[in-house]
Amino acid sequence: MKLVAAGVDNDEEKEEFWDSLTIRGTNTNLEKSYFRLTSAPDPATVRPQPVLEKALRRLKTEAAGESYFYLQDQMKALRQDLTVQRIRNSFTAEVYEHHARVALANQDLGEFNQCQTVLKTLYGEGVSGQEVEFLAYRVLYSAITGVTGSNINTVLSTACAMRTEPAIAHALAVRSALQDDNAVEYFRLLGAAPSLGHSGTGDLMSQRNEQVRFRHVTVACKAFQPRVPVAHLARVLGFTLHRAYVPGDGERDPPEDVDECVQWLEAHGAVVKDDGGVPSVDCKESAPRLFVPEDKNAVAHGDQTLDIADFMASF
Amino acid sequence: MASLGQYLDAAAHAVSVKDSATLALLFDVDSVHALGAVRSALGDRGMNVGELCEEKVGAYAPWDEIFASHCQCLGANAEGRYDDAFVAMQATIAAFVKDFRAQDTAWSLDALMNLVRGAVALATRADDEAERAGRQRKDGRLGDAGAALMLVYRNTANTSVWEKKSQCLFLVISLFKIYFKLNTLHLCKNLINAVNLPTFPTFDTFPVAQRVTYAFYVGRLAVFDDNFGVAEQHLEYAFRHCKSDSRRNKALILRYLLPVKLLMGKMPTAMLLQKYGLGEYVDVVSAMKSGNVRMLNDALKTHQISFIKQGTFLVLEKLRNIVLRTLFQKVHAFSAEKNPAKGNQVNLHMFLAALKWCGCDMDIDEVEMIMANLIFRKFVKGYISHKSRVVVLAKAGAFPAISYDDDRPKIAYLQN
Repeated sequence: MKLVAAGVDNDEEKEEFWDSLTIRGTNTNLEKSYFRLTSAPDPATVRPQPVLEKALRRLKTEAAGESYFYLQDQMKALRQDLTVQRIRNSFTAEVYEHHARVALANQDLGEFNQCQTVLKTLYGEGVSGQEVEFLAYRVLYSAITGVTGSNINTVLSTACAMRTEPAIAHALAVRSALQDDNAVEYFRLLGAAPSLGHSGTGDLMSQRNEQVRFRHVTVACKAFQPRVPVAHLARVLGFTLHRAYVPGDGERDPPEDVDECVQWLEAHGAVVKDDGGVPSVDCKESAPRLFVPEDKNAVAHGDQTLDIADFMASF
Repeated sequence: MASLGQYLDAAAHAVSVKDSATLALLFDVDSVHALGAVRSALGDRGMNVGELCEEKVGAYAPWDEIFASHCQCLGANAEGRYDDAFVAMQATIAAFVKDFRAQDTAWSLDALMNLVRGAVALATRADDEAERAGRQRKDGRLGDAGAALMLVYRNTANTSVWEKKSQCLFLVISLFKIYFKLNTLHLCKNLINAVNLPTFPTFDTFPVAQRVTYAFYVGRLAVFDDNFGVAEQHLEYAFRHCKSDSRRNKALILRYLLPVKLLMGKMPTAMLLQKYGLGEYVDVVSAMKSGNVRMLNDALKTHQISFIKQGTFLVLEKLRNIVLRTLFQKVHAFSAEKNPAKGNQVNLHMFLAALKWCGCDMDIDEVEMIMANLIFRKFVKGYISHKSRVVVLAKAGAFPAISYDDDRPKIAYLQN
């Protein structure tokens, strides 16, 4: 009996087909700007892995202080060269990891999420990289962006199995603190972010600072009567004592500096009064006035560090 | 052992007289007879299945095509080539459904359901095989099976032939099982909407086993969405109607019903926990009764992996507020006894001491913050006077009953 086999598994043949189309680059320039491809690239414009490795090293050292616009551009070109040459090894992971961290340092959650998604796939294919660090980021990311229900379960299962790793334990604790609306614990954890050699954890968590603070001040204005001293709020909201992390900041001022807290409170509509020398928030008056101000620094195109000259030069 | 020719003769006969039961048997992919018939043919190199089908069943087109495809499927299944078998099954179902749609009775419905069961079984085998071989595309075939089931569902639900709808709930729960396995829970919503349509047969007309399974899955989905009122109603229904001798199923339902009940402040008896082997909840319940936060945290940590696997961990975490409130209630009772004149005031340092005694090391700032959260979330009615570090409780109703969307009407079809 001849049975027509449906769907013959042609994986090997497919591999050979793609191999024949793969570009092997010959470009030796360390710097390259990103251009979206509309057809197969000229191998003379594509950089082989050894050149790419030098380019990445350069971006991590000498060029590290360049604008986000520049770094973004260079990283995307790096990624593209890897893609067209179908390079999917630990170097690829290194590139995406670096791009992810740079994105975090520049508050670009969108780009970060893109990179971490690719990394998840790469690790799944057996590529080795900083899996623990990025698993911790995944836990933090879902906690910070408020993923709920069934979707967070998969991340949690993976993370739970590795909860003995300090970075993972820390990320799980942050998730727990956010779930409990425990601002005190949240800012304590922010200050105690594990140093993985990068500021990624602090950068990622900081994205949520504003929300945590605003929620708590809302709670406080309802729960306390008649007033709450700013000093107490400053401690709970991570402005003092727990030495809240600020991206890119140097040494903090001496503790109990409530001025920054007062500024923040007033910017959010709270009414701060002088209660016998002690600056305090008047709960009853503040409660109906609280609001989340628009981010004055936000720009329509998303990149606040974009210099007009850079933008024009990209044409 | 029958031969393939005999198998096809039986097929032709079943079709000609519209013999529902025999047809169903013929379409069972794991039926010993069918596999035997096919195996005997596999050994015969000279046989052409397509020709044989046309010869035996050709008079009843398109059944010759349907059976040709099905023989492919059987052959591949017999030889352990599950991926090929599944692909052939997809073709069989597509061809079968085309004919089914045109029929004005539901005589071939049972056969179709056997094909559905076969599709799921083959898809699972194909995916397991792929995983063992280390190939990518995890659960790929199960997803395809889901698509096939949806095709079948649409053709059994959107019809004027009422008997065709009798298996709709079976299809819905089969799809639920697939979506849960694939973790594509968002696809369940449309199915639930479909079940709630007036064109869907009355819930009570379906067998109790299907109703229980349906309520179970809808209840679980509601738990994931923090929809606790809906969850409680469905899971209670499932538990109530589940056969008492089906202890394993009852335990499964309880596993999800319990956290919901706990969130509402309703405690199970020790006997219930023991009867259904729910040991992980013993410490949780104990912590809730005594207001011991540390005990709850420890219990959650100990069983963290199981709870996360079951999908109940996130729900159980929410119990913390209730445990804190219970502890605070005890502190209040103690404080009121010591100082009746100030019965509605509780010093926060007392609360701090109680928490320390439980093993929770906090400073007064954190205790105030916790208290503020409890008040804001309406677990406690009152306010905090920061200057004196005192909580002033409302004269009446300081500890309101916990409720979750209680103002919604009871769900009609669950009222039996």
